[in-house]
Amino acid sequence: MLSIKGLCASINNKEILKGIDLEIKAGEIHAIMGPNGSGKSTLSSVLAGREIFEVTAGEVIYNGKNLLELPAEIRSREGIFLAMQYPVEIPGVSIVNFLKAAMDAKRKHLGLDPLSPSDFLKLMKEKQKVVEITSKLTNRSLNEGFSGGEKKKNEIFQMAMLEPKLSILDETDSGLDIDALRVVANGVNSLRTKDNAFLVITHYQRLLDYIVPDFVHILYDGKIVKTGDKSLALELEEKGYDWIK
Amino acid sequence: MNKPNDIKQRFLKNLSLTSDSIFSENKRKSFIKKINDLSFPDIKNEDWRFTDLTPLLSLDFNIIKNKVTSEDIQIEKKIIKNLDSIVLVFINGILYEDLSNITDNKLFIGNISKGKLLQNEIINKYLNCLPEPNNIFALINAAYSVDGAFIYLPENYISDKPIQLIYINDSEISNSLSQTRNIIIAEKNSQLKIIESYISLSNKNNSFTNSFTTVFAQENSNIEYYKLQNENEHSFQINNTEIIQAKESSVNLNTISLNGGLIRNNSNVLLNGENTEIFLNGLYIIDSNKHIDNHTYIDHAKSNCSSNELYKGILKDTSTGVFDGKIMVRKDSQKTNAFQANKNILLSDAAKINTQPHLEIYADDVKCSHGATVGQLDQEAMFYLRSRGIDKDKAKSLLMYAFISDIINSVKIDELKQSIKHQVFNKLKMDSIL
Repeated sequence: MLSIKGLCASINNKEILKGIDLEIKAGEIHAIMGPNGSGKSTLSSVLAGREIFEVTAGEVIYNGKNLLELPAEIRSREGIFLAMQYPVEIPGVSIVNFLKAAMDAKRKHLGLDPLSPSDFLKLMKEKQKVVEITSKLTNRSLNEGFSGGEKKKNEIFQMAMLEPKLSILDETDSGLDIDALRVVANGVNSLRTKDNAFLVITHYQRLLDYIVPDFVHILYDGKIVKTGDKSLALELEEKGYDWIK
Repeated sequence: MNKPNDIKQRFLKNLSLTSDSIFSENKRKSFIKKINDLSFPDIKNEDWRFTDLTPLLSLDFNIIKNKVTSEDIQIEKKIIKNLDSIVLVFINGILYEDLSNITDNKLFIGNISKGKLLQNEIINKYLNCLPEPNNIFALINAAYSVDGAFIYLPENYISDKPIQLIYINDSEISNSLSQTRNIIIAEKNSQLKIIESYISLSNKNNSFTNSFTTVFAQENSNIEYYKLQNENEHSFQINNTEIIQAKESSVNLNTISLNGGLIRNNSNVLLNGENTEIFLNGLYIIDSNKHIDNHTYIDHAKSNCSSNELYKGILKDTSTGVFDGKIMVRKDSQKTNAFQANKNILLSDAAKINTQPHLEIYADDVKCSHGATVGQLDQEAMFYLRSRGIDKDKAKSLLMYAFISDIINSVKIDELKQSIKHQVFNKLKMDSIL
């Protein structure tokens, strides 16, 4: 599904990613762990198409397409979803209307008719259950005045609605209490199929007790320095990051 | 004759004193004497530094009286949909009663040129305490206006129907001039909702609106006052509004400017009794080479009053804007709360805004704050929307709407809010997904 080769990226001429190689196949869950400043969030941003980062070398092939050539909105419509670490507050635009616009854009891109309002609302109801939120929340303005937990649940809710092929979770667990963490993880697990894949970026092993990865990669100083299975996360938890340096 | 005087004489030559006026001939002569002593402001004048009136003052304007029918002006498209209201229609500054719908006979509503209102003792009392006009445009209006809305709410009267004042400029034949002198009086414990719309009827020639409104908000009265400016690019507008508030009154003035060649709003508020509150909200969205200027002046003349001012604007292309907000807190006006903010988004490198607060505070126990921002659309928010599949243009529109949504949501009349939303969507080229 996704093939990253020799990816280098910088911001303001400072190199952050220094040659990333990563293969993700449908049905897999990959976790990326690493200390602060190792380039975890940069990697997710570059994959989602945030323009402030400049790709200086390497390639990313996504389902046969050169991903780096596509603008952010096309990547989204092609099935890439980034659950953000800091979702932005947008007053005056309700989640319902925002998601209708996003869904319509995606369906148009895929050559499908827009969902009828009743089908759309039915789908909303169904997906709200996945992340245990109510219409009260989804009728509110996007993220405005939301608690940290509500913002993260809302990210997973959007993910559930848009049904992406590749979901990237950028430190979705940071700042979550154990209940919210459980809800978010259950959401992810229930959305998992043999056709989609997840890239879970996290600082802590805790999340991986709930979302069990097939592969764990350690990112350090812009490179993947170690890859293993879920036991690697436990090892990191025990020893800290110092031993990989 | 010097040059400024030439301009003034040429500008005034088409105006004449008529018998239709609320002011006596002597009074009007005193206004004319003052006009003779003044000249039109130029950009050397501190109050007009960023608003150049040369394009306006190089034109000739006439008062045009047309025979029009409601079909001609398609009045049903000009009033706010589904809103049960009292409607007064002015064309080129003159009330057309046959186009209007004045159904509430408990109120004095009509035009001030009708002598019968002047027989009334109460009304005369108010006319006698109108403040003297303090600038040349207000003086010209006072001396030469022939009509205007007169609205009088008696004590304890709750006006459930909003009053819509529709000001139409028709410059089909030649440059047109509208000079309405409006007087609005809300007596003790009364409540009033008022909506003004400024509209152009023709794209030929130019129009100039020089309007002057005085509002008396008496003890414990409550006024919601909306101004919608949506004329064409050939229009000029100077809109003088003075609000005089007695104790415990509350006034909400919303000025929404969506189109117009040059707009200058002078909104002056005198908080003349304790425990009064004023909310001034403003919204402007302008493009091409248009110009919008909001000057506000809030005079905290008594203690325990609060003023809350929020103006937001989006400027595109080579458009220019001015916000100038003065707050005066008098020596004995303790426990004053004054809040002022002006926030702007510039969508092009050539668009410009000059924003300036002036605070004069002579009391010591006050809370005052002010702030101004000028920025671009938030790139983080842009990315957030695009990462969900929403294209750049639509994301831009959504973020512009998000920026101004608090002003639109402060509109308390639902039908009016929908109408404003609709106009804003058109302006921002959005379909109505919201």
